[in-house]
Amino acid sequence: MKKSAYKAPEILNHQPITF
Amino acid sequence: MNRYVHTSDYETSQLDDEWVVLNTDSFMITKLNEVGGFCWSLLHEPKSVQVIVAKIKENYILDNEEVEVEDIEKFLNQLIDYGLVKHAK
Repeated sequence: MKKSAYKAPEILNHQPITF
Repeated sequence: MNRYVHTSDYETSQLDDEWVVLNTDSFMITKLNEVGGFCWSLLHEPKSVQVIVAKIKENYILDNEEVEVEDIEKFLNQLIDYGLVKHAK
């Protein structure tokens, strides 16, 4: 079954784990 | 043919249409969009870009949009930069 409309793969956020 | 695979068995969780990958080696969190997470989920074993593109075509609705190999390669290379993915031997 098809899931949803295709959008180019993307990294939305990349950050250190904070405390 | 270049193939890509996870560098380690990192903790991953899906929240709605976003994926979060927890890199416990560098203590970084990486958030991916829906298709990015789908690509990530395929890489528990080595996959080529061509296989990834084929899987995307099977699983997503393409409204007059092509799956560009360059987009996938760019995404995978970013994951390599962040230490989440490596070239498979």
